[in-house]
Amino acid sequence: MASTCRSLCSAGVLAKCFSISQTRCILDTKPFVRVLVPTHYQQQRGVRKRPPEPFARKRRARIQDSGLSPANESFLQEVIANEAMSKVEELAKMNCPLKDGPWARGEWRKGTKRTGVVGVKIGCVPHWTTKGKKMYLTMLQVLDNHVVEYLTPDEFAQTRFVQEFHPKMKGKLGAVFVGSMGIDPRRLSPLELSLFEKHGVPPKRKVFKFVVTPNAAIRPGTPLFASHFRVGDYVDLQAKTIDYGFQGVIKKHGFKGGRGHGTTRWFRRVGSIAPGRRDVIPKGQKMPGYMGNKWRTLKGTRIYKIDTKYNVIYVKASTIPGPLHAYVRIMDSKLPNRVRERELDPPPIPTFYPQDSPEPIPEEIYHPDLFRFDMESILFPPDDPALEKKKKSKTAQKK
Amino acid sequence: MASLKTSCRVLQTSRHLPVFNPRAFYRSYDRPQKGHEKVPSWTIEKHRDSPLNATRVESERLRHAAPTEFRYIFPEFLPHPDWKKRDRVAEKLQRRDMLRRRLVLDIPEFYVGSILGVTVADQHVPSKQSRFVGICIHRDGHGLRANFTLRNHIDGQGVEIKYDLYNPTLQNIEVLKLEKRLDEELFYLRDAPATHSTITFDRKPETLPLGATVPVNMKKIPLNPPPWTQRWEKREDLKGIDLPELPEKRMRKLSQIVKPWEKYDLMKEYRKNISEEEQNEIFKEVVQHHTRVEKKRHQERLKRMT
Repeated sequence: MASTCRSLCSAGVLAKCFSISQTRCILDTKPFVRVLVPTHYQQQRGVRKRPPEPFARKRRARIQDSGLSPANESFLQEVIANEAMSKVEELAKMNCPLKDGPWARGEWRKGTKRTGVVGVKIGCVPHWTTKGKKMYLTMLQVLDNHVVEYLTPDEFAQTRFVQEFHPKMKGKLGAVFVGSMGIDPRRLSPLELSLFEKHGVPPKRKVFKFVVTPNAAIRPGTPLFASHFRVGDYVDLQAKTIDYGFQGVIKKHGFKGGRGHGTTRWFRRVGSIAPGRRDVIPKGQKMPGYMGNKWRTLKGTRIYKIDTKYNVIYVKASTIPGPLHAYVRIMDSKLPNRVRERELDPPPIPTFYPQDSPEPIPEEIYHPDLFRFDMESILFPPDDPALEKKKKSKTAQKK
Repeated sequence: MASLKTSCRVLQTSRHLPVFNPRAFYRSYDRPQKGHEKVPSWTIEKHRDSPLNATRVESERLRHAAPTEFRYIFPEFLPHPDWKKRDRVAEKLQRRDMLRRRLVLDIPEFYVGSILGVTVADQHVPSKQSRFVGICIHRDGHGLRANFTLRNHIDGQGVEIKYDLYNPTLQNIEVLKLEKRLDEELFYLRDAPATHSTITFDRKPETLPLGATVPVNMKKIPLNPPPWTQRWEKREDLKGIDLPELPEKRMRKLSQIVKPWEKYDLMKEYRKNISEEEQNEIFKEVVQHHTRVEKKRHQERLKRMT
């Protein structure tokens, strides 16, 4: 079997690596076997509230030694690259991988929910307003985003997400799955690949789900860009916080700790947990434990600049959850005031299509309040003498 | 069939459809040691250049090579040496902004130990501009965060001001005396007699002859008797201080604190610095700017002098 498989590979059949039957055939053979560790579940970091779910993935060995000769290996990589490249070229030709074009665009209605995009946090830099005030902007790069799958409200209602956790969404909201960054198809299982193959989308490293109203449905295969949002919009940023591991009470909750002098072993302890001679510890009592690695949202941050060449969004915030290079879900803000503003001036729906804009898109789009570094240095205008006189007279009255 | 069964478990247990389950989907590969929701830096770098990236921006190639002294003239162009804090695209975007600002404002060459006069737009002053003169005691920050600190002694009071180098309210940076000191930071001037950091505001700029190397001031600064802001006797790396006589007890304790082996620690040195190949790549962008703009400015300066 192994020998036939190798011959298959060398014949370049793996070029259609996306088809399930062949990959399965290859994976079953000896050189491609992914070793399963039968006894242990994959270690889950973070607070675990329930036992691992039945579908939890078991740890897999990496494909390091594929058992192929170097010539065959390089040939395979070439094939994969070519496959991807041809798809990229298609994209570039049509600006859209869909031969029949995108779906008919829905109209903006009250309460419309659009998709978000997946960004990667790449840095935080100081910028200045045109009035000379300093502020910190965080750069989020939208790396190679494509819509991978769309579920209609009926289909979405059948998933566990709606049935068990969000029954109110039933029949009202659909879901858009957005993938970010390409991945070598050999690293995915055949079933995973089949999901991508369904719409002819290149396999993605990371997939996120966004709940949308049916009028904001996007056809799978559509690329998403940083210009999905506009400068001046308010967005919510969701990411997983830095994983600190098991931490004491000082680092986790900011307790004061004690003094070592004149006491016995009173340095970084919790102290009293409950008053008096009660047996009950109050619920929510702050104690040492696992810190970080939780989903957190920063709401209502404003976009000040968009770089359309590198697909970078500059957001006014210095405290976005997560470490550098964390995945960040960027969505339209849910704050009521921002929702109200959006109703008056709706964003492009379902997303921004580059072929729509009549003029070529500028490389950088600035907020009018933001200082551009090619502008002249900031000078403040001299005081108005008439105003000063008024001020003086006011102060004189007070005296 | 076995492989199919196991991979089925990955997916959401739905009655009819196999669906993406973002939670369980990506747990096993390319996972760093801590946290799932982060891409390792090297993976991002690889992806940006790989043919799998649909929105790839090809890197531009430049012919000019960077002179070696650039790393001292433009230290803020060098990124943070900690690789965990670095990102190639973020650095590139910052460099673009920095060079844009340098086209508008003439940021001259200066070092720690040079004497500068800085003019800033200030809303709260009647003339709307304020000027400060002082000795540069520290340069810090990478990219747009670059800053420098000036120190002066005014009316019996030590004054220090920290300026952001790329702050748009900066109107003018004037080098009154271009020189280096023996150390990379001069925080010990805080514990030295006031005369060493007193500079008059009407000081006239001194110019160096063309092509001259920047002189190093070999002056050793005598410190006041303790208490000090830091334990300067501990700092073996500082060459520009002249310590007073200290009590015996303090000198005895010194032997416990001092780490004389640190200057031989090659790895420490390596971690502090950025490799030369990488520096060259960074300064290629600066060279273009320099050849275009800085030479012109230099000639203008020469004209003014003659």
